[in-house]
Amino acid sequence: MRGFAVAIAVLACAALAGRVFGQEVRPVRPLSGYKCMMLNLTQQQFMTVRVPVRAQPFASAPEVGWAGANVAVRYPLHLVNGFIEALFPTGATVWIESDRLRPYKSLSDPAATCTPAIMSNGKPGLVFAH
Amino acid sequence: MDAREQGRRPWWNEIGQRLSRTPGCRRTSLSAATIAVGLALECCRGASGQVPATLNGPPVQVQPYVAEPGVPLITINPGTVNPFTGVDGGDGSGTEGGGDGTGDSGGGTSGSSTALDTLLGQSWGATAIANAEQLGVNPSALAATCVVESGCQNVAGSGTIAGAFQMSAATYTAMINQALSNDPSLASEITPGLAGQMDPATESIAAAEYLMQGAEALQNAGVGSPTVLDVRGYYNFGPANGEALALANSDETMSQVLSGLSTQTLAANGISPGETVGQWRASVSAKIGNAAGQSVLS
Repeated sequence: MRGFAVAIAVLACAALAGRVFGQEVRPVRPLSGYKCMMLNLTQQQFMTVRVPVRAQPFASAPEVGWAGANVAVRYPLHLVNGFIEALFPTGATVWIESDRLRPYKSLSDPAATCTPAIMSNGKPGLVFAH
Repeated sequence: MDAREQGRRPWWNEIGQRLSRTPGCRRTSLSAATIAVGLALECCRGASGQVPATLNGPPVQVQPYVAEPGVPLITINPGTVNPFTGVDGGDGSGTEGGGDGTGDSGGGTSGSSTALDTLLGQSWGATAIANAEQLGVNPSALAATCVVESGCQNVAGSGTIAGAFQMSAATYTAMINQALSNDPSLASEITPGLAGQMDPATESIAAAEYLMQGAEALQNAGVGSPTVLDVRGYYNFGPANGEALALANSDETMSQVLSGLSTQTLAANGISPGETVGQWRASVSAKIGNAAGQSVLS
């Protein structure tokens, strides 16, 4: 009877944890060969401008999507035709114009750090800390 | 019936037979039977008298007389009947949109009715919903946006930001042009030029277009079915910040994720120092209610 109660308690805890954390992916390990950069935009531009990421390192290459505020770039930097190789959140390799990027440093939290990581869903992500 | 079957005779038969053998009891049994038949007839008449009732107005509400700790006060405001309860994901009971009246820039009151009810309470609400559907946007997403931004009131904002959806002049112009490019038939329905920003029905087209673009951008970035809450960051903080917010974990701070915004800009948008992404999401969800988890694209 006591074993049954323990099993029920374990199941209840597991269900609760799944409910609380089910939506979140967690970092599994650091992503070597990449570092964080951020978009090189003014505050006003951050609110309005869309920075395209492309499938190949040239301006006429197809647009894969738009860059987020913070980007995982290949490090040491891989620069081709004025484009820097980066990793899109989907895991795809993309290229961003180099003058659109600057080193990560939060304006409102200068001590913050950003590290590319492999997340629990197997995709790349960014981990922020101090 | 043989002796064995007689031995199994039910007890109530035996009682009945004993009673019927009792002097005067036959009359009693007859009276009881008459009463039983009368009662049965009355029941039948009651049942056949039932007719379907149509609910007129909101259902009777429980009036609490003792406050329950931790439970916010919810007031039901009877208003326009919500014909979109299906898309709203609720039950039409008027519990969505527990806005606190601190819209991002409009400072409007979202009240405690559903976001769709709030939108439908406006003279232009039905047109806005039709516009959203025409563009492929969930009407609840559009409703939640105006509830948070202005309480669905056509108000001025700071700088070039204005209207029920509180869009900047530049974003409004870009989005209305894009919507018209996608569907030229909309041209006959809008107020042309920048004046359309202060015509809520026209601005709703631009807002729906912006929501759709936001959802598609997040889909490209790997967010499977972007919700109203996911796209809220995009609408509020722009494309780059919106994508970063949608992909961030709840325990990270807004300052870490929205790296390009200063403390002053964050404060102007109601973000306090040290506020986590999870706290921001909870705050937004509280304002827009059960529309928060719904998909933006219909």
